[in-house]
Amino acid sequence: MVEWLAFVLLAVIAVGGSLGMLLTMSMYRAAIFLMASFVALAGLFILLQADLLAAIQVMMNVGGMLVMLLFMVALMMDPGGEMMWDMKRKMGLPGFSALSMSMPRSPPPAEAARPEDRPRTGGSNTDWTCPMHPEVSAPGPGSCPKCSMDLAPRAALQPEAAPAADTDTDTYACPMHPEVQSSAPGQCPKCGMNLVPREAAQEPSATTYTCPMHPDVQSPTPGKCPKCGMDLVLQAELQAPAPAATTYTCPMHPEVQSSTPGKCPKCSMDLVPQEDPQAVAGPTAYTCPMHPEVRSSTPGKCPKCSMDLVPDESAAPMAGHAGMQHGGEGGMHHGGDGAMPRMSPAAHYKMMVDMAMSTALLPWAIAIGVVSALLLSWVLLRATWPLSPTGPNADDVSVVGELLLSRYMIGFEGAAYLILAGVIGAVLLGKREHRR
Amino acid sequence: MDPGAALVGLFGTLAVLVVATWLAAVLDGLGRALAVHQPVGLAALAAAPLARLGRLVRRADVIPANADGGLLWSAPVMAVAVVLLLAGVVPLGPGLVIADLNIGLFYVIVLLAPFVVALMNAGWGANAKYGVLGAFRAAGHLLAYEVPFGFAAIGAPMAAESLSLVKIVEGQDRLWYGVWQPVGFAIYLVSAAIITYRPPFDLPAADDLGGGVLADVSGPRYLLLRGSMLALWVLVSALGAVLFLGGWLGPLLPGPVWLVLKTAALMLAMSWVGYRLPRLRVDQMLGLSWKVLLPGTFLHIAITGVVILLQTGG
Repeated sequence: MVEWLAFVLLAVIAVGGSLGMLLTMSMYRAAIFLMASFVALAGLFILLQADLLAAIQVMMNVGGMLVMLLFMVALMMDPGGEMMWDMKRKMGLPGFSALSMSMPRSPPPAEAARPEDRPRTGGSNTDWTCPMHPEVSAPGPGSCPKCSMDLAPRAALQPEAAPAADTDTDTYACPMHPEVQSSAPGQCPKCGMNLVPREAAQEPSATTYTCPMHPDVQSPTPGKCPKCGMDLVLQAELQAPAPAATTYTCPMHPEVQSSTPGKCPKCSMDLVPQEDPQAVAGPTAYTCPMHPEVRSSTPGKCPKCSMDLVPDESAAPMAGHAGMQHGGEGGMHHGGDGAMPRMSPAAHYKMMVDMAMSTALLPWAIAIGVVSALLLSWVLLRATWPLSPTGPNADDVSVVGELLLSRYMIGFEGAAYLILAGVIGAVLLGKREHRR
Repeated sequence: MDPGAALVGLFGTLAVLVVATWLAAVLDGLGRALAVHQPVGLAALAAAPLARLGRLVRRADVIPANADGGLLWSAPVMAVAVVLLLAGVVPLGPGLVIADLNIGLFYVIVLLAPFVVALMNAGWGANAKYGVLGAFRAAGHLLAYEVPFGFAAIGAPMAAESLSLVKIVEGQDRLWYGVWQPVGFAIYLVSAAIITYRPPFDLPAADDLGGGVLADVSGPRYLLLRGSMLALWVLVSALGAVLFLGGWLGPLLPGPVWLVLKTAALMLAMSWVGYRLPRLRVDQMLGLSWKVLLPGTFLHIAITGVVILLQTGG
């Protein structure tokens, strides 16, 4: 009786787990579902008196899936739960329920249009140049004909030539220790993290902080309200005017525009209010999440990594970003974040990668992953599996030991070492590349 | 299997685990007090975990606004399940074991991976920055201990010629394996500390991330997760006593008492030494694991193999 109950339960978990893996939208959830399915299969093996197979099933698949999660971080540019949170915000998803395939049911509340819309590169200087050879000049991104380095906007390379540059432009700070400041990039002496540019310093006049409760409290720096102890917030954020004429667009097809809510004629998704019509209409509206120097006025693919270009949030006012990261919108709230320097999405991503101790270096990681996958398949094909019904006697200790130390060891440990070598190699090479 | 016996076994194991968790909390406090030379009465030490338990039970269970509810809830359930499944194979005395599996040690090593998944779910499910970073650290953590732990523990089954924990204990009636396998024993203790997130290896749940994977876990769920982390510490230490210190074997006193004494001694040592050391970063921990512990285990396996060959005259 107990056996039958266990069998039905495990079978349901196994099938449900695989279904869940297929249907869920979150990579992490997919991995967890797969693990649940494998563990249930292991349970079925135990019911069939195949303890050893069950144990190997759990160890290899759960351990392997954990390494896969690491790969996910390294390869998929998955910034973690924050990404899901951001997707939810952008697409107005009602929530990541277990088998969530749902598209937005209702348009999310219109976002307040942000004032002070000015592109970060600024000025009329759209000339691109090589960081090493300033005499090279090009109208757009590309590589230097002399040293093949990636070109960068001249304005970004020569901050002193940019208009309204002040002395703090080149200040670097530690993401964890705001008091650590340096005029050159480097490592924090306290925690060894890479210093990031302090972008707060680049917006000299527009940053006045105020208390949400006491508007008369004004301060040039973030901190606490002397009256009620609340965190001060950007004044610009509080005084955001209501949007003018709202335009509705499809989250998937930005070319679809409508003045009323409804369905997209191409994919039948609900139209959502366009976040910032001015930013989209601007000259450099789309950029690659990984290569901020790639800019385009139309959506499309990044020429470097083929990722989909996204609307450039750094061209939009940074106040919105800071509010998104550290504001009071639910789960992201942590005391003490107010002291962190505000960062561009790219710098923020870099910080996340830094703290997660993983590599952002795609090509190396992919190459090593492919090589380990090929070696792995070779190792797995070489091992002869005891898969016949008259398999080894799992009750005989010496047979189990022999199996463990010979075939399984070759197959499974070999596989594990290859995966580990791939991860470590990618990290090491990534670090070397980083320093170069 | 008889359902009644299964239920009795389940609740009996739970009761033993609850007491063991309380003992673990007391030993943890004692080790900390010894490490910082802070005079604390034993009664105060024994009462502190109970007071904390009372506070946690009454505290509201706050779920972050953007949390992934299912994952968040799966964490304590998985952690407690892993601890229960592990408790079933630790032999308390001759015949005093729920399941004497013939793959016992392998089963234990296998079950340690889902515990990491539970903690990662707690961090990821909160869907907030600190928890997610803690989850990444937990995954990196796994790389640091998995291989050294298995290789350090393998010395005992090599000598006992069995993976069954009962047979491993019976094989130590003349000499404890820990005595002639000191390298393996030491590496086992270090990787056990890494597995159970003992200081100085507590980075995934450390204070610099506001509690890491546990940053956004509160109330009863926090109680279950912290409790199962402590219970896992007890189990891994008991396993160390079984593998290297002869388990229940000892003169005069009954078997279970010996096992408890040995386990408590190991835990106190781990706690005392751990609180005296500075916390290790993930990269330092991986460096320790791959540059020191792993070569050490190879040495351990080689020496153990040679000794066994000489003994059996092979």
